[in-house]
Amino acid sequence: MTSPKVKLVHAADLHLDSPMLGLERYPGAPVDEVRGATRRAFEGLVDLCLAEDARLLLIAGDVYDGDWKDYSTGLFFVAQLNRLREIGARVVVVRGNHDAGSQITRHLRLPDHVLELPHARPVTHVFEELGVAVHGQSFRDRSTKSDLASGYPDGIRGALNIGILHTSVTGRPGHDDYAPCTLDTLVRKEYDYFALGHVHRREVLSRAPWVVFPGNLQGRHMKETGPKGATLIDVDGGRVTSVEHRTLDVVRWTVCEVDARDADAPDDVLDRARAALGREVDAAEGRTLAARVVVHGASRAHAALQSHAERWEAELRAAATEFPDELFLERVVLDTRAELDVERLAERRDALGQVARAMLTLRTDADARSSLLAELGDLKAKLPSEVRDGVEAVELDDGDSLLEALADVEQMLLPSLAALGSDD
Amino acid sequence: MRLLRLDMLSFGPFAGEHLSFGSRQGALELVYGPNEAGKSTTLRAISDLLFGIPERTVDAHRFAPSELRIGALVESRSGAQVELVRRKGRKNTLLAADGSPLDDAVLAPLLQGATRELFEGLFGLDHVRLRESAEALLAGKGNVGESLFAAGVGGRGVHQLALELSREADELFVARARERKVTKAIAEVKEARDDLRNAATSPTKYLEQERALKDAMAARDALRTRRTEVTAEQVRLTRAVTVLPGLRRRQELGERLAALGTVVTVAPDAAAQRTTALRDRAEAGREAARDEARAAAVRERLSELAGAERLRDVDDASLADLRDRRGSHLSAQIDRPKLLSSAVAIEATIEKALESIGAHATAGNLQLTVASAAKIRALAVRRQRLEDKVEEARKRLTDARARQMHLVSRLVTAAPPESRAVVRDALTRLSDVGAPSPEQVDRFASAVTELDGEKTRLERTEEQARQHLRDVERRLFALRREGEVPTEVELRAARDERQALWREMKGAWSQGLAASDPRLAAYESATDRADGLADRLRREADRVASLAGLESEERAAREEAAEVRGALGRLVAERAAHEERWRALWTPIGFTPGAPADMKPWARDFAAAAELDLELSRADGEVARGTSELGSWRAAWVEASVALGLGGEPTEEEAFAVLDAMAQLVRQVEKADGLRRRIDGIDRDAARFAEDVAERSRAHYPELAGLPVADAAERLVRAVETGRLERAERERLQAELATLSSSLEAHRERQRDADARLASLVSAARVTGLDDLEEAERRSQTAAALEQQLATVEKELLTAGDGATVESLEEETRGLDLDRARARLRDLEGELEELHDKMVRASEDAGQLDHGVHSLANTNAADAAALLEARVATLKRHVRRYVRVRLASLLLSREVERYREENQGPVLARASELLPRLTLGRYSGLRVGVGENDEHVLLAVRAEGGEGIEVGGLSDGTRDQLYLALRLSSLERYATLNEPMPLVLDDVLIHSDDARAEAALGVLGEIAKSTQVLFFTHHARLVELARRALGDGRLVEHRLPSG
Repeated sequence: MTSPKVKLVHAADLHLDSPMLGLERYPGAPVDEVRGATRRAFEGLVDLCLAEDARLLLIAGDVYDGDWKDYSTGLFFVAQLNRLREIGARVVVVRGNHDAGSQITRHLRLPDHVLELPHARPVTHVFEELGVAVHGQSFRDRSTKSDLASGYPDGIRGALNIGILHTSVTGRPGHDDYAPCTLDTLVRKEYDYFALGHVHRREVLSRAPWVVFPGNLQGRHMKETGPKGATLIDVDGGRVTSVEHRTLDVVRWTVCEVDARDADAPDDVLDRARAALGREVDAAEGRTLAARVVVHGASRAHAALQSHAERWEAELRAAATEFPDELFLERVVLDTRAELDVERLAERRDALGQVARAMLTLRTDADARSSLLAELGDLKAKLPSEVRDGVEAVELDDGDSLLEALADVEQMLLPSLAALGSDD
Repeated sequence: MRLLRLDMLSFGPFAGEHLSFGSRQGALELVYGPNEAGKSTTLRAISDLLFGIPERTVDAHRFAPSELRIGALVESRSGAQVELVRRKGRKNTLLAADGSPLDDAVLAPLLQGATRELFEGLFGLDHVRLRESAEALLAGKGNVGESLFAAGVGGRGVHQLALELSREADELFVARARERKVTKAIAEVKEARDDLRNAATSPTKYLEQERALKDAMAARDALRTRRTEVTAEQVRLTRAVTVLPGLRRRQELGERLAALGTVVTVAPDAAAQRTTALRDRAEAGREAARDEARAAAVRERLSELAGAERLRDVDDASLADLRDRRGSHLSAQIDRPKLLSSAVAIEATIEKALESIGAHATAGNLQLTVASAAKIRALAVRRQRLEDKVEEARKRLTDARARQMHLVSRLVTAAPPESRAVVRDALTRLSDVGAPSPEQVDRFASAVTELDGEKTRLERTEEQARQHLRDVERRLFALRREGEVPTEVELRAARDERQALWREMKGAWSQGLAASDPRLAAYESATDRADGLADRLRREADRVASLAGLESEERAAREEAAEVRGALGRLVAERAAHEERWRALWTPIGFTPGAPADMKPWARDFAAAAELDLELSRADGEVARGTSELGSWRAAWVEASVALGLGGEPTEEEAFAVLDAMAQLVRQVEKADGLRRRIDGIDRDAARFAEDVAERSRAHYPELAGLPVADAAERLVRAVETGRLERAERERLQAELATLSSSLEAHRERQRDADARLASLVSAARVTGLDDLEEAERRSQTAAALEQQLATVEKELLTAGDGATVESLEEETRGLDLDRARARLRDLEGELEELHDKMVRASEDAGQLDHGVHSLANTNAADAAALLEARVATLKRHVRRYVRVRLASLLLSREVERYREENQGPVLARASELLPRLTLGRYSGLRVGVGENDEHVLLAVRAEGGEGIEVGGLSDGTRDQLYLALRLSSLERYATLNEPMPLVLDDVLIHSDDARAEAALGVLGEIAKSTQVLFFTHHARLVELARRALGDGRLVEHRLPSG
């Protein structure tokens, strides 16, 4: 077997056409700039392969969203892969949990230069001209709970051995536990590189051998912040000589923290937020930024911010339009607190102390919280299922789901009451 | 907590002022400070002490922010006392009395979590806040729970807060109500969800469409193949049907050609050639005969013209000369007798004229007399000019004399009456007297104007200088009146004095200086004076500078005034000297002149009169000269008249008549001489002509001798001309004969050529003679026409047969039935049309399917999904906000109600006691009634009649009292349950009349037993009322130091 000098690219979790979540439309929002972000990121991946003259593209699962039914997405996928055929590059795909359940996967015929590994059992495919052997197995169905890795065949002597696998390994927060395995299992296979998929955050689990989650190509919501992209692998003399992350996202998600502690008035907070957003926009290097502003800290400006929350959010959105095309303000979270000591207030034997005590009780008393749910029954009955999904899911199922809301209520009521007598 | 002492160490305008409270347990602390005394600053100092000095304070004006200090001694309910100092800063702002940092925690048990806002709201009250709180009671319609709660948190707007929360919640969501934010957002989410469902392409749908497209394309291809076959057959049959008639015609032409047998082909134009040759031959014969006849006639005439050689050598010039001179000779002979008679007649007239003119004149000497005629004419003209000149000089003399008289009389009249005699006398010697010239007078006049102008200007300047001086003096006076202006000198003196005292004291120090030593006081006052002076010098630096400026300005003004006055004096002197010079100028005339400007006309008149003297003498001379010239003219004239033959002194007219007659005579003599010369010439020419004619006749024509000269000359001329004509005709005829002979030869050549051509035609047609030639030509033409037609048919076949050979076309059409073929073609046409329609339909189907596949492959599902998520996000935001607002609203109303339940009894009972006292007994107390929405409401019970009045029915003042009752009652309850805070009242009673204010002060005095009450007021009247209400034992008065 030859051992030429080649480049490979490893990507996963494309989630083509998966919508950006939480991006409310507002006047001046750069809606066009975020449109088709996952597609453009994938085009970027193909561009990268062409630019680097990569010989092999490894896609470790989750090309589509599982419940995504639009076949045009599959056609787009094929059209892009066909660009690689023109330079004679090959593609290896395994199905992830999303693909296994996808209508598109079931019907789409992939072109000849694309190899989709079967789900019945792990297989090995040898690319003689590259000196590379790829071992892998697709998901059979949506939830594959068995350890696929341990069944992977032994490496082929003299070849560069690559395992491709969609897995949560030993479990990752925010990701379902699929095809679980231990890092030890992977390392013991004595492959040169394990191309993993499923976990959306880039992570290098091991360097000898390489075990890599490249992360998804394009973040889609506020839990997928920071640069996203794929991994470029240099192979020389049958060995991996370098592993490099390449950023390919077209929309960058970020949380912009604003400390309101020394702010006297909402305008101060606004100024700080504007400045912080400006810095984030610069850091995004021309990409459109989907940003959440989180204002926190005990602040004198708290009561004023809280009592006109909508107005301040609107002002901040207006400020965001100072960066047209560059900034999509996802949400403004006013997580400030008043400069009040609730526990101390609760010691007072007066009207305010009574309210403080009531709020403290709600913090700890689950029954008291549950009793409040009845007041929201009408609302709950009307809400569509989408509200319960995705990031920032709204749940009104038990008293605990109100904890966060009650903390906010505490910060709404007590400062307002304490300030009622003041001149401001 | 009680405030025992407040130290305003360095804060606002204060520097080390103290207020000591608590000297009398349970007494009302009344703090009186008139306006500007720092009451508001003191109130701020209390809050700042407890909660820190704000970042942006208004109290850092006397002291820098970092120097601000507020100190206090506070005491908790348990009696523990703490000394503390608050400084401005970000951390560690609380200090112990010794300046070491103190943990803010020492205040925590005293404040119980209170913030500045809470403290000021709960324990601070002024009339504005009181009135607002009372109005909030009204807004909440006296709802018992809200009223109590509001009094409990010291707040004005519990009702407002509750209202805002429930209003916002209602805007977001109300079950079964549409047009709420949440409801609308839900509808939009559902709509977007449907849009997404419609936008997405399912794989099966796409694949079905793709398969249908493939089928449609296959069907279209099959139709296309069939159409190709049918079209090919159609083409083949159409060709066969088209070429068949041509093939048949070709066969027929071949048969006709064969029937003609062997044919000699002659040239196509052979017949024409034959006709031309025959015609040429005939024509040439005719023309040759005509030429021969003409040649015979010419030869005949030539033989006739044999002689005509005489007079051949007379040339053209001689002939013309002879002819001209004969004409002249004849006309001169006619003129001669007329000329002779004219000459004789003129000569007779001259003779007669000479006799009439006189003795001296003959025709010969007429020229001499005429030579002097010009001189005589010039003399006649000159007399008139001399007489005119003398007349004109006399006229000027008279005129000048009259003008001079007029001027002199005007000059005399212009002089003053007493001087007129002197002036008149002076004027008799006009040219000797030196009166001033007009230019001199002008110079004096303009000098006077200049001097007067300068004087006016100087007078104005003097007035301005005087005014300026007055003004400076006035300002100086005003500045001095403001008080003595300090000077550096005074300052130096004061410092010296202080220094001397200091030295003295330093000396005394060593011996021990008593505090009561008067020198200390003296030193202090010296220091004050020196500092005071220094301060004033600095403060009044402007005044000092103004004073110095004004003094120097005053000096300058005085100097300027003096200077102007000097200039004026000098000017007056100069004006007098000028006047003197003016008078001296007039001394020769002998009278005192007026002002130069007035004397200008006089001087002008005088100058004019003097000028006229000269004119008079000039005119006089001219008259004398003219008279003498006239005398000498007359002598010359007498002499000239003698020459003309006229005696004495003739008039000019007489002399001119004689001169004209003499000129006429001269012209007549000249005319007679001319006539005589012409007659002589005619006679000379006639003799010479006769001689010439005779000579020629002798040489050429002797028969003419003896004929008169004119006839001989004519015969000679005619003979020469006839000879010339005959010679010319002979030459012309000889030339024609030569031409005729060459023409004849040409005609004979043409005849021979035509014969040769005919012979060649006969030989080409292979016939024996001209007679058989025509038949041979006809046969050849028929054969050529048939071959031409055959070629055309074959060419057409080649085109119609798509280039196929005739043989293959014959093969193709062999056995073809034309009728059947046409029927088959019609069938094929029908089938083709049908195929065409089918193909159009199939193409449309395929196109639609292709478009369908394309649009299924390019959906906007991703956009629809993005929109759905955007709307979900909006909905989530509204829901989150609704949950919070709704819970806040719910919890607030729940706690208000619970507070009512727990506190209604004691608080209302105590308020019910306080209200009658505060309202001076108009209301007997409070009770709870039921409002329009079945809620519990407060009612004030009127003392008179016991009727319960809702808060809406109370006067503003009473409502204030009601709120005050509730507040004070709540505070008392607070004090029993909690660490009490000082109650800080800021002019809370200014809306009350004296009686109510006094009653309220009494109640406050009672409150002071459980809670420290600090009562701030601007009004001295309230101090009096407090004394009256509380007496010495329950009142401690404080006075703020006025700033």
